[in-house]
Amino acid sequence: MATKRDVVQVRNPKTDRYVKIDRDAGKILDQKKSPGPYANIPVARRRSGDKPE
Amino acid sequence: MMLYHPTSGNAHTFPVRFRPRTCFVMTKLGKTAPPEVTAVRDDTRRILGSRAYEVTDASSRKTGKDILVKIWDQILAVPVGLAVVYAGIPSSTLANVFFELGLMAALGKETLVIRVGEADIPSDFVRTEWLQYNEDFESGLNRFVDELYERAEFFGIMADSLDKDALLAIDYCRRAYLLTGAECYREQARALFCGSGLDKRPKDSVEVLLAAFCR
Repeated sequence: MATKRDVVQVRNPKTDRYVKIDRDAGKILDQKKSPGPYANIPVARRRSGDKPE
Repeated sequence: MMLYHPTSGNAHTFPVRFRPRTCFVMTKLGKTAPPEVTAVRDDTRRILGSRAYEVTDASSRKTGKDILVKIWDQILAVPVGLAVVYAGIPSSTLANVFFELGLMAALGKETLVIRVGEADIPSDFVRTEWLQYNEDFESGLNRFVDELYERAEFFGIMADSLDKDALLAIDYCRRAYLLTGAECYREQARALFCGSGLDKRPKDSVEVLLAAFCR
């Protein structure tokens, strides 16, 4: 049985496209060509740190 | 990232002295600069100053060094570059401005072209953001600063998500730190640096030089 990879997505504000990341491998997998998020992939949020300004 | 000195071609083996929240302006400088360029520079300084961003350019300090080396040092140090172009800008100045803008883009810096009047923008830069100098300039430049914060937030999330690749994550922290000056990104990079064993590398190695901003 295949192991489930820890894959998340983040919106790149420069391109307004979602980037898919394999957190287990520490690798950027792909960037979506069309607007909107990938289906069934959680959107990553900032885990730590303050927000300046 | 391996960096090469612009005149000698030698690899950099010393840490970059970063200047977070600083913007490098590229345009015609000196007494021969037209009044509209002086107006753009004054407005830019005022608007960015109100957002706690410093503005610098090639004439900001005298170093006695080669001018290209001085510009290179400034470009490496800052997170943002603004190119001001206007109709009638001398072709030699325009070439310098776009050479520097290209350097900044290749180094992962955020860039913006400010267009005064009907200045032409070379086709390689049509995808680069540009802002017309008119009555909406202040709101446009403020919007650009807001976008810089969005990008820093994005870099922070990328660093969180790519922590298995410590060097890449540290580089995202560096970019976020330069844009915001926020200490949290330095702390995050420090934790990645020590947690991944990179702190055992020689002090002039690429890894240690990359992380120098957080140590």
